[in-house]
Parts: sequence; C-alpha cells; structure tokens
Amino acid sequence: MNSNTQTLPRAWLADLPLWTICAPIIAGIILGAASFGFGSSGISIGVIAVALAGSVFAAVHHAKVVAHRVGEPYGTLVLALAVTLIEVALIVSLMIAGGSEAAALACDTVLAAVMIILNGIIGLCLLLGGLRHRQQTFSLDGVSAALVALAAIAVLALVFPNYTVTTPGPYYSPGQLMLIAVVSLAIYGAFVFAQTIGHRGIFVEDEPRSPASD
Amino acid sequence: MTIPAVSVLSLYMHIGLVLGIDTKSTVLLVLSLFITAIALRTGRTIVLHGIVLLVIFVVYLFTTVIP
Repeated sequence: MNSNTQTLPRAWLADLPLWTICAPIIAGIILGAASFGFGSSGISIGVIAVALAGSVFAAVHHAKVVAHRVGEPYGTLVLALAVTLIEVALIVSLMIAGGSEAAALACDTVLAAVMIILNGIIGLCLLLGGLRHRQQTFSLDGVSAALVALAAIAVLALVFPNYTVTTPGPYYSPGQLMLIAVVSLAIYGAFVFAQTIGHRGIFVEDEPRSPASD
Repeated sequence: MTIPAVSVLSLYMHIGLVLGIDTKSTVLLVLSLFITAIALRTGRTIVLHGIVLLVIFVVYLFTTVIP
C-alpha cells in the first residue's frame, strides 16, 4: 500500500469519482428541502434514506482514499476515526429523536458491528481464502493483539452491565459509565499505540507471505 | 471507540443509555469470541473455520429477526 504515496496529484484526483462529490451536496439539498416541510410521505422518506446512505458511502470513500495515501499502519487509524464519527453521529441523532425507545440503539449497533467483524468478515475471509489457497497463514501477533483488545472491550461494555447491582437491569450508573468509558479508551489507546509506535512491525504486512487474512 | 464517545455524550445530554445485551446475544457474543480465538490460534486456517464462523453469523441474523 505504500507504493502509491509517490503518485501525482492528478492520479490522486482520479480516485475521487464524481458521485462521491455530488452525493453529499445532493443530500444537503434534500435535507434542506425536508426541513422546509416537503417531507413525511413514504416516498420522500425513502429519498432521504437513499441520500443518507449515499453521503455515508461517499464519506467512507473519501476516508479510504486518504487512508491509501497515508499508508499501512496509520491508514487504518484514519478509517477507524471516520467510521466512528459517522457511527456516533447516527446513534446520537437517533437517540435524541427517538427518546426512550432508542436507548438500546447504541448497544445493538456495537453488538452488530462486533458480530459482523468477528463472524461475517473473518468468516468470509477464511472461507474465500481457504477455497482459493487451501491453507492461509497470517501474523499471529497482530491477530492476538486485536482479539485481546476487542474481547475485553466487548465483554466489559455489553455483558457486564447486566450484572452490576447499583442500577439493576442492563444499565450502568453514571460513575460506572465514566469508568467504562475510560477503560475502553485506555484499551483502545494501548492497541493504537502498539499498532503505530510500539510494535509497528507485527501489524504491517510482510512481503514474502502475501496470502494474509486478518 | 464508539463506547466512550456515546457514554460521555449520554452523560452530557442526560439521555438514558442501555448498554447490556440480553442473554441470547451474550451467549452468541461469547461463543463467537471463543471460536475466533480458537480458529485463529495456530496461524494457519482452512475452509472449515470460515464455514463455522459464517454459520454463527447466520444464526445471529436469524435470531435477530425471530428472537
């Protein structure tokens, strides 16, 4: 991935198709029209949903281009930051709009993301790679680091609140919520530090063993 | 990184935040963490591991629609 850091600005512009620039603008126009009251019928809600999806995909595409330019270990950080921003913005706006019904939205979203990554994406990678190369090898150190961080954060944030007794039910008290926020940030920070500065070598794909899946 | 952001925002804006998942999802989450850890343990994987992980994913999707 480091190979295209040398490309010319013109080639870089070619990575940005027209729709990635048009989609957010069109979405903004549609949003403006909707806020002036052209909304609330089924068709216009569908149009708004398509515009939202289009601008999200455009934003992710922009982040992908930037990540490509930045290179291997830091590029994943750019992508993670972009996706987190989009996700938090969507969750918070839905929670503000939805009231008490939408309170469980955050944990459902995070659970769905974890399940898609762990089972869907890794499963698909292993299945397709297995069909193509019969047996795949990959960097064990990188996998172990990512899995350790993911497992700790997922269980602490999603399973643990059911068993705390200060506030019964699937809730954390404000103090506990702060603790969990700090703890997940610490785990994620340690992971990012290992990925970029501390043990950069185990996360960057080594050239001879190319059929890696992670 | 979503968890800290959402937690701090919910504290700041006084929105109730449900973080716990139900028992069914807990079992599936722990199962998939366990299976992933075993499947990726050796550094070499074959088609079987992928099929098992995808099956768990399908079960998760199915039980989300029909709990």
